[in-house]
Amino acid sequence: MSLLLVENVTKRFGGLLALNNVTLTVGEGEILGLIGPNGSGKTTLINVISGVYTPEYGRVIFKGTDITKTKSYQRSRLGIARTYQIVRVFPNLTVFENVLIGALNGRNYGKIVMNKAEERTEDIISLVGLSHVKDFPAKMLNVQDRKKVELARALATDPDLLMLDECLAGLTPSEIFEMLSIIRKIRDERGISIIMVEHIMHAVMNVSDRIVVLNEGKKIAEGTPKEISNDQKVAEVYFGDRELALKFVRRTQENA
Amino acid sequence: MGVVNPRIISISALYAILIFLSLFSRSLAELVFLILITCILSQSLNIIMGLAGLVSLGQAFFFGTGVYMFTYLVINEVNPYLSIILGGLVSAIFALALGLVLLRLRGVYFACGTLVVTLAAPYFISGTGIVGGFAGLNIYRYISPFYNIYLCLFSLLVTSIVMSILTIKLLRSPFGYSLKAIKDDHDAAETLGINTFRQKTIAFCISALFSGIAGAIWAFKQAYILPSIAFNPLRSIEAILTMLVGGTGTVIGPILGTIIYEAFRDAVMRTAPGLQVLIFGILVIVIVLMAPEGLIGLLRKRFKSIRDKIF
Amino acid sequence: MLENIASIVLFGLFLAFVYSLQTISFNLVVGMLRILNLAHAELIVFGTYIAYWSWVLFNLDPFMSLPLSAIMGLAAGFALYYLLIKKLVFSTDAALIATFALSLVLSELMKVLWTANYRGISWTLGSIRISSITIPVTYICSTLGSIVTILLIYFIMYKTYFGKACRAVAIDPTASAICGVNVKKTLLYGFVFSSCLAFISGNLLVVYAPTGINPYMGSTIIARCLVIATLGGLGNPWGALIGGLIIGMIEQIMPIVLMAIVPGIEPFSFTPFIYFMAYLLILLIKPEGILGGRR
Repeated sequence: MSLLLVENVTKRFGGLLALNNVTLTVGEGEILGLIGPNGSGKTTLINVISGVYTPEYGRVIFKGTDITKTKSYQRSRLGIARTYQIVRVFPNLTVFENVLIGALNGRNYGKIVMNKAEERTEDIISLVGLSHVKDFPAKMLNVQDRKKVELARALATDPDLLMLDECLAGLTPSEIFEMLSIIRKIRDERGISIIMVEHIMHAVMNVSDRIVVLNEGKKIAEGTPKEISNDQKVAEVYFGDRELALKFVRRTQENA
Repeated sequence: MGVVNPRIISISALYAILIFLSLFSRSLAELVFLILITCILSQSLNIIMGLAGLVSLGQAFFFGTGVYMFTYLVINEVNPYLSIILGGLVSAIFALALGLVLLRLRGVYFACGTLVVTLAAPYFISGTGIVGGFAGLNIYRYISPFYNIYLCLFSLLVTSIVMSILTIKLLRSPFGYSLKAIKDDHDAAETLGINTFRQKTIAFCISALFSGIAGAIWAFKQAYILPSIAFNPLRSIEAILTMLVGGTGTVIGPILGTIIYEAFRDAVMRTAPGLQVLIFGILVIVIVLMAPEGLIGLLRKRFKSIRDKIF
Repeated sequence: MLENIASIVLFGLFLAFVYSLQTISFNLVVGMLRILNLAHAELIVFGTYIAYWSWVLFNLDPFMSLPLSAIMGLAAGFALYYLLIKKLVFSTDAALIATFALSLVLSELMKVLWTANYRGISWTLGSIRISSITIPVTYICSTLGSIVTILLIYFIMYKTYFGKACRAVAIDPTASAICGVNVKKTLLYGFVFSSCLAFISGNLLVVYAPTGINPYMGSTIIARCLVIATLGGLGNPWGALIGGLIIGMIEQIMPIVLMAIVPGIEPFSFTPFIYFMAYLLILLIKPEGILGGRR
């Protein structure tokens, strides 16, 4: 049985149909890439799964229970964690405290003692490679480290499903490489399922087991990275009409 | 931190000085009484504003609720010491009711709500005429068998020390961390599994509980109550001022801030009576603009080496 | 009975416009500078005192002293903006504390200057009788003054460059800056404008407070402003009209209802308490107000 099932979800903002009858599943220990052009509803989908928005229609089922109407903090306690597109660390708290708050809440809420939580925090901080800055306020870090703090904090809640909203955006190629290896390590060592929203195509193709493509709120394709890269519809969404593109290329060549 | 915690030593030292002063003379005991009242208000504000980051302009309301509940119980011949506790509890219940409405909303509604209640409360007392109404009430004959300034001082001291210990514990507890998280980023805290509404409500109730106790003890000592004094919005600004002077979100900040403030006020009272409110209002504005982190913030920048040990 | 109702509605309407003007000027600052100016009521009280002193010292009636109030309002606006408000723009929490402190400072300043005595002027222009309802002409004057000022605000906000700039800044300061609006200047003039309106509305208030002018009357005014503003939509100047109407009516009806229901109550000192209940009720039911937020 799949870990997460999003069933026929529809969400509108006024006249805008942000999500149109989207269905997708995430299996246990799977990395699902979620791609699509700007404004295609990727972040909205993440917000629906994490409980920021309630969809007008459809259901979200996590580990067999319907959580469509569950509050955001309760979903975290069930084992859903996320990061934000624009990093939202606790700026005035240290890296250690940031992650500690994650360790004290989430799925461990009320079940973990302070010492255990601190140990857990240390572990996770060293996993993402932030040990050298752990006593610095988070606002003093650079973008990559802040993204790592957010990742560590989400990880500390002990989730079964981790949603990363553009956690590679704005990083340099070497930083992307490092982040990807961390993400892979999270899945391999802890068996956490991951949904990755991403624009950097080679990264998603590289790390995902399966990819879902959204366009204008609709799911237009789904499959392994290989299938997606050969998909006619996806190419159209990203590059426009294939024929038109080819014609255009030809014309520029002629002119030159 | 070693075996002996320097933070606890410095706080104990401050309390020891206060106790010593109060034994020195009757007038100093009165001053210490005022210091402790403001100190408790400041510490209770510290929980809701310093830790959870919610601006409350309503400490005076909970103070006044404590005053009136205490008076109401005492004139119905309830033991004053029991009434003090009950006064605090009733304030906490008021906070719960208010919090259920105000804490669901974001932005300035909470601050405005607390202000509006503070301003409305005296009208409620005058309009309904309960517990003396507009003209106030002298309760000396009800409490005289129990009355003793040193007992008042002692109960204040206990309350204040309990608050300090509570704040120390809170700073290193899951609850305290969740409040700090709410202060820094409300939405992120929610997605980490923190029930923000519940945590804020609890913090608000704790804050009101102690403000109410302070009010009740104040009424015990004054033995004369008036709606305009019990619900004086100046008290809210005093709490904010002392907390800002000392430093928000710290244990020692409110205590240090209050001592500085009351000493200063004493001096102003002697030199320029009638201008205190004017001077303190201006002081608050200056501090908000110039040193939002307070005196401790300034000291921290100055003496980095000792900062983690004491504060 | 019918005449009683008519008089309640009439006096409710009179009050509504006076309150609306107070709240519109308050909302201008909320909308543009994103701060709740808790000292706004004290500016209104200053206006009332100007009307009072012009009457007592120079024998100027409250209409003649309007220009004086307006000028003083402009001056106070400039002074406050440069001394304080400039540093608080867009900083919600600091602004709350600072303006709250400012409100205490200003009311204390008035106490030091003019003592805490209750004062009032005895300006009468006779009264009009419609069957059994007696309406003092001064009330009519004051309400007409409020209506004219509100119309003037409407004209300024919608027909002049300054007003359009104000509305643009209220919606999005950054975008307005890109479109060539001088945001800093607009904020400054917006605040000065609001302060000027506060003084004017204070000046008009004098006829409704025949014996009640004192340095601490601001606390009721700010509570009422907050309630009306929230009722109509915080930061939305026109929501204040609806909010003012509702509160004006409540204020007229409540004492009568209260006296009928609860014996031994002092209805007039109890009314401000009604604001508070109304405020909590609005926040419980429709926190964004009837017309929604900033416009």
